[in-house]
Amino acid sequence: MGRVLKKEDYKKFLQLLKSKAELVAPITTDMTRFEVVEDIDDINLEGGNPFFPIKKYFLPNKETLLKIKNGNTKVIEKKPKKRIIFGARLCDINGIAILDKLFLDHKYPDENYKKKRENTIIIGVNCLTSPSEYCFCGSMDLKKEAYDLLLHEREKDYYIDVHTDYGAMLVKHLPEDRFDYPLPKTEKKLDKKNLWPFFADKYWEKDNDLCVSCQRCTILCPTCFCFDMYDRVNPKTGDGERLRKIDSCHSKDFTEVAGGHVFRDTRLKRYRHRVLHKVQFFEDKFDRSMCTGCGRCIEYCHSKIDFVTTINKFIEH
Amino acid sequence: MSSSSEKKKPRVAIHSITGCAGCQLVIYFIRDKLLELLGEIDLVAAPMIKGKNEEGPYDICFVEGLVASQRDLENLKKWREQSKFLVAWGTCATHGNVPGIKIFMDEKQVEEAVYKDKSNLTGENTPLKPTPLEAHVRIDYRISGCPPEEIEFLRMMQHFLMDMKPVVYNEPVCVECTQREIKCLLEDGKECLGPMIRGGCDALCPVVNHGCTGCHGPLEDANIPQMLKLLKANGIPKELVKQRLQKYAGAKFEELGADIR
Repeated sequence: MGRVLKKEDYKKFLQLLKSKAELVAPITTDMTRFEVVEDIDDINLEGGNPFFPIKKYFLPNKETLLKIKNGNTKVIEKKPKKRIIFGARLCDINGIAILDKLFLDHKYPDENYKKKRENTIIIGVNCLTSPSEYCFCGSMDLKKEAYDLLLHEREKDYYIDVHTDYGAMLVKHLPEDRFDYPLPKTEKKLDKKNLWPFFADKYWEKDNDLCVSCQRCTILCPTCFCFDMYDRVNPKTGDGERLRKIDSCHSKDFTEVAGGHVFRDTRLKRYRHRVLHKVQFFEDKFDRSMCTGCGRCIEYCHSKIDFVTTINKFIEH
Repeated sequence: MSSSSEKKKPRVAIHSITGCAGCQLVIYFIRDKLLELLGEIDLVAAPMIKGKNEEGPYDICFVEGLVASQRDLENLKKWREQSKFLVAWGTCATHGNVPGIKIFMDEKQVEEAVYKDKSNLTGENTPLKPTPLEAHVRIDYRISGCPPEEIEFLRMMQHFLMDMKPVVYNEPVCVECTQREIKCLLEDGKECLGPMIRGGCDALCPVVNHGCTGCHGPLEDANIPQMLKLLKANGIPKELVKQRLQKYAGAKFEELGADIR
């Protein structure tokens, strides 16, 4: 079930969102980023997919998990900010659905992630055309989930798909409608296949020669979540905090274990692991690809390494 | 943590050889946190701020600067013998830095330009090929930077004091730069060495729209051939790239296979 928003009421709707909580949306300056909205006229949905995916609002690059005082540890019980994310695209939203699987759908949910998730409303926008030539979400079986509301632009109005009760409350004043909005189509396609037979393929090496291990692909991936934990402690009192920071499988230190052994000691092993984790290992385990086809890892790669083309080539020889 | 007060305080030294002394200043400028730290350590030698300085043994000895004279070498060897842990502090100590550019130039010419009177360049003043510390002695930990970040000193001291193996930040500049959502200069067709340089600086230069010039030196596993291709593709003149690579860590870049002669 959904609602209908007339085009002339679009700004009124944004104003309503802004009045409810901190509103973040794509804003274009030197590039497009999700930023706090001061003026709704700054919101720009035409500036391409924002540089950093919305995972930053749930898994920040660095966060304090607990405080240590007088030998006791205390989980921080700070209330996360109430926030509305407007203008996220389905690739980013599916990314959150995948992170939910890992951080919520478990006997031991991650409290920090959970609190942020519970205090955030996600309002998506459907892509009518691909925001970038690198998009390939059309091949990634995106699902209509994990958002509260999603706007789909039609000729004369917006159809708002309502997915949660929170979302329903925000649009209860709008007229009802029922419409099965189409998922985005992309020109770029990933030819999905079982990659195990190609584990040692020489094409990995071609990509690997181009990789500078900068980690931008994992940092900007809507589903990369690997992290490291460490303590910042006053050596005298023992008081301090435990922090979690985002790590990357492209870092050599990532697989270093006690004693100094490094499991993935070459760049090739690290690069291949990232790709296979996204489109093979995760699928083997959860029956769903971890990649949502946003194309950021290709678009923002210094060398424009394109794992999609690489995988597509695997049949040709 | 009552044990820390019963434990003997570690004897710490902050020594210096040829360099601008800026790396030491970073430590002294920490102020509040340094004063707090001074309660936990015995700063037995710090010639820049102390009148009376003790010889070793030292538990931890920070050395800034590079070996450029006979005296430097003798001091360094002495401190190595006297220290349990020797930390190379700053890019001069880890990579040779700006004084290391001399290895790409004519030695005599450089000396003529710098010294009007070369008659006292004998004995302990005898110039040596400018080299980082590890060319002469074993180094336990390296913290590069021109100058290094104060957090790196504090983090290392925290680890030492808690009997942990110190962890030194070892990711490229791109990590912090991308996390801060800065528009990529390299992608923009500009000059930036970020991907092959050790970060920890919170992308200090890219934040103000200036490409990374590499003051932390290269990462051990940097893909230098590909980086040179990227810079070439951006139209950065070969001569300029050579100069950039020679500037902070020329010897290291050569060792890693870059042709910068």
